[in-house]
Amino acid sequence: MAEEENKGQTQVLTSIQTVGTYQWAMVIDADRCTGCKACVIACRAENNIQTVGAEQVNMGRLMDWMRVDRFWEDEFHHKVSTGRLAADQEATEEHIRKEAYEGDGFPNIVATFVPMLCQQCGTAPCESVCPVFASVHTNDGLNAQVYNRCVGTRVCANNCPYRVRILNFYTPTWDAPMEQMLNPDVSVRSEGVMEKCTFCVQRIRRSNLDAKVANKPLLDGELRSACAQACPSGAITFGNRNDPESTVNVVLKENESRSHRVLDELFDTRPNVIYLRPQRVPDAL
Amino acid sequence: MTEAVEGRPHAHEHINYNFVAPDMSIPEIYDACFEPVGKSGWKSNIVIGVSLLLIGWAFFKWLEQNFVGFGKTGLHLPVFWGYYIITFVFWIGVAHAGALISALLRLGGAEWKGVVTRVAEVITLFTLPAAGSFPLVHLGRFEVFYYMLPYPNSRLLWPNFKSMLMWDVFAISTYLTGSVLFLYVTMIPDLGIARPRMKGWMRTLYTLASWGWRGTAEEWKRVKEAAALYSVIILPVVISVHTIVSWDFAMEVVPAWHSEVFGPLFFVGALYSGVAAVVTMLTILYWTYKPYQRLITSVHYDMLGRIWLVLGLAWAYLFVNDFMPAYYSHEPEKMDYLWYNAFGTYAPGWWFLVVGNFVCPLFCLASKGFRRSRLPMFVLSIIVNICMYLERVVIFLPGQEIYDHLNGAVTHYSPSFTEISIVVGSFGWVIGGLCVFCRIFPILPFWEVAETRSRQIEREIAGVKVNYFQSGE
Repeated sequence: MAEEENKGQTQVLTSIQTVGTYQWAMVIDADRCTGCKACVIACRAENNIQTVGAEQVNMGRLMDWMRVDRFWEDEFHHKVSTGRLAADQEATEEHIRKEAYEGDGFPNIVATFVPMLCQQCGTAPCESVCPVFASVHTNDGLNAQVYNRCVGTRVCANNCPYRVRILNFYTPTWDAPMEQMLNPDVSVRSEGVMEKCTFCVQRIRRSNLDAKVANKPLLDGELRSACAQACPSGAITFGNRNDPESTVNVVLKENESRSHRVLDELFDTRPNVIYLRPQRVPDAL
Repeated sequence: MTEAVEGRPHAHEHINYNFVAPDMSIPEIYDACFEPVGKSGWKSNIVIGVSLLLIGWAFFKWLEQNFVGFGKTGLHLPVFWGYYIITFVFWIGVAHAGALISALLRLGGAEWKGVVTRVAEVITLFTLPAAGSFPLVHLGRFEVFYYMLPYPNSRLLWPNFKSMLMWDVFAISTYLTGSVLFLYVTMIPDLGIARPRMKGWMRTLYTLASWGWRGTAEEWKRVKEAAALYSVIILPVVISVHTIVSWDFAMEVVPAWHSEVFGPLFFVGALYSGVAAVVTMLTILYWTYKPYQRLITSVHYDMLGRIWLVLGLAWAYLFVNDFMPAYYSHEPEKMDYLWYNAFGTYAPGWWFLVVGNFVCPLFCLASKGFRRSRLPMFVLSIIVNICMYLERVVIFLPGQEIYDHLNGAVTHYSPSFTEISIVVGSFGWVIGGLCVFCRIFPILPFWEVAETRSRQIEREIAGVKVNYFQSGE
């Protein structure tokens, strides 16, 4: 396995997903997500993401690699989208709308949370457009960003349909004792380079090396991304897609009917992040 | 017909439109063409001084942006390409005037080209570096811009030739090289002819730059061959450059940009603004230098106006074409973009663009009287160039601002003071550069005008004096 890892040279020229021992993937269950954003905080702590301050955030320069999108649904649309109401029952829509919005009390609305992070696309739109190969594909299915190589054309951010790439607008600074808490495994990015979710590549590489030193295979569960580790409701599962016994594959197999990949049908990006549609029946509805 | 040739009974405009040779002897043409060369005046001193100030300030702001951080610009998620890129495309467009107009006129054998060609080429000479500098200014890390060049290095790292930004690098550098050579080769005879009459450092400059030009038949043959050859070579380059610039956008997944019509739309738009720039420049030359008034006639305006009208129609067709298929297919993202343009934040600019760039030129340029009057053409050229800038704004910015497939958020971007300073500085570079050029080199090509004059033959046919030109050498 260690040989496998070293054998293939990184196929940077092709964005086709390579098949090796590892294909890192993530499954996010929208039913389990409560929108607590613990994953966002964990990601910030793990990956030395700079805190830019209120002024910059108001300008739309929040540096988070992960965000939690909220989608609001009223009762009718929720029932249609979860299949409990046929879409042709439109005659009732007017009635339900009235009930939902004009009845007394709070409208009957359901929120669905979708944690959005770099989808580590198999055929990533950002990779082909980077003029200097700063955005490349690795053998284990990651969409890597080479900070040293990045010149900051920002074309990758334009070409990312998920809008998860961010530019470092200023060189990050930390007040006096705070730089002590930086994760030594992760480089601090300088001004002018793009950054994004790496699937906690530092953990992946560390685990790979540890397994190699111990001369044993890297087992499922030995490695989790920071967001998966922090998620209190277990909505995020991280693991190796090429291992049929891995938790990722088990969860996927159990929930095959709910699984989908975001925007894959529009752009054929083949993301390595797989979402499970919400199916819960809220008490209110 | 004009002030210059009025009173000549034979200069009848209905007989030969190609006739624009001035009613001057060749020494007079020489004096007129070289009138501003080597002279300085307080007006041009002021222009150059102000330009230098603008360039200096822009340079300072650019340094500040590099040292303080890219946050000095107004860019933010999801608008990552702002006024730098808009101005880049605008200057590329204006730069298209040069090579294309002069190459087309040369190949088409238009006898009136003499006055126009070098003006157009010199506009390219200054606008193209202005354009080329913006992608560099726009880089997050300017200090490593050379990563985009295919230089040999120990890690055998190459740039990504699949990226359209790489195509851009090569297209623009090819076009810059080609248009500088094109301009320079056709300038050599003028430099050689004027060399003995120059004094001081200008003489040294002309001597060095004319490469020992003596004016032998062989040399003339070679210059003309080279000019013809460059004309042929530069045409595909011109077409490819702006198409490639449009692919920077059309090849991305942003719905408003992902359009097949961008290639021809950008190309035609570039020529459209290029002709406008030539008209602006010709008019300013006309007003600034008195001797030029005998060389720049209303026939030039007429001819340029016709080209302009055709390009305007083509532009309008393609611009509407950008929206119509989207409208009929009701593609949601494209419809959002269309409505956002027509009724959103950018609505005033968008409607000004539609009127100023399409409706207004169409009706104005269709009239010969309008085409032949200087001031209205000048005003129209300014309006069209403002509109072409607006066109880039309404194509690039709204597309990014409303671009969010996932949660449909709309953000607004406005340029920061740094961006405005650098953009204004590029205007300073172009205007100041043109001014300096006029003071050092003849901006109207003496030999081409003189050649036209010497090939002119007057003959009386059926009682009417007509002018026509000896064909060939």
